[in-house]
Amino acid sequence: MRYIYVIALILFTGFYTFSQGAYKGDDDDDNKKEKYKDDDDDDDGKGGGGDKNYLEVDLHSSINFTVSQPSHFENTQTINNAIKLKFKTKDSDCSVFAKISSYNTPQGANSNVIPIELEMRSNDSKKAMSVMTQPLQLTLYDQLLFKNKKENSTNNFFYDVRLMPLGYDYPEGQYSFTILFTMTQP
Amino acid sequence: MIISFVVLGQVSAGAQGKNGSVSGHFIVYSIQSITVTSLSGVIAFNTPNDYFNGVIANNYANIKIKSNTNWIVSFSAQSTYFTALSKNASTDMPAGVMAIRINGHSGFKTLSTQSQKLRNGPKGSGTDKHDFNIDVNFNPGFEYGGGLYSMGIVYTLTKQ
Repeated sequence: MRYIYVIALILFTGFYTFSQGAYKGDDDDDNKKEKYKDDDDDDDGKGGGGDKNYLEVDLHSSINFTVSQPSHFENTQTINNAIKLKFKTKDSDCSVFAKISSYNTPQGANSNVIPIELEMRSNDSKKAMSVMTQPLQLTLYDQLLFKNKKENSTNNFFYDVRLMPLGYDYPEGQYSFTILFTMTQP
Repeated sequence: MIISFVVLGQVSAGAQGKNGSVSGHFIVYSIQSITVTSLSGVIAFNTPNDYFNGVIANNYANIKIKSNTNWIVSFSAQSTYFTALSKNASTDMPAGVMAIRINGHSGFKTLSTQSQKLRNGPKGSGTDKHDFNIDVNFNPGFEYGGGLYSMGIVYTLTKQ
């Protein structure tokens, strides 16, 4: 009977741990770390640092904007250093892309043009290439943010999130968006 | 062994590639903005003909509209009578001696304390609909004393 308890305990622990590894975060919460790890054979760490290849997306500030006065409609609003991309690409070179995976608008709004931009604020990579340094207007399709040569250390990229000048064609209401970052390796 | 198989199965099922997402929103409020800029100074009555026919001041003022909904702009007199600003000016000159139209349009609308529609338009800014001048017609006739008068005009922008 005692062995059955032990087996049950191990089973419970195993399911719990690996369910967390496959977690897809709640998009609605701010300041929530969302991480999707690969299934390489190096599963010695749970915080990212022990994995060979991973991408971690940290939201440092909520990326919510208010557009309530003429200056908001006519000028760009920026949330500095809102997003941190932390990654390691130990096995091979990588490319990191961004796109809007979800965009919901009020009735009557034009949902084809998404007025959200990313602008890289800083990074600590010594092996980055093809880095997009200009503000990048996001679309529903992947666009390259940067490439990085394979290396053992962890790198960080910080991004501003910018709401472009809307003009006065945007009807009132709430516009919700989700930015999806993807790291690919050949 | 049974336990090992179960655990490995969970790892394989959890492999989704390397990506992550963040979410946010922006809230757009209803906005209507109107800017009225005077383009003329004081209108003077210098000749008999000015009194016989009145004086039309074309492009008397400019109006700019910014709105993210369809809109209507109306105007009305702030008071029933002009305010007399000089010694001999009459205190009973009514708002109705003054009339307004959109520049380039025909037909003046006589000013009163009742609000009247000047123009409506679509959401947006910067088009001819949203940026236009108005003309003013002053025609007091001979009934009022010479002097300096003023009248406030209230422009009201509302969404349709």
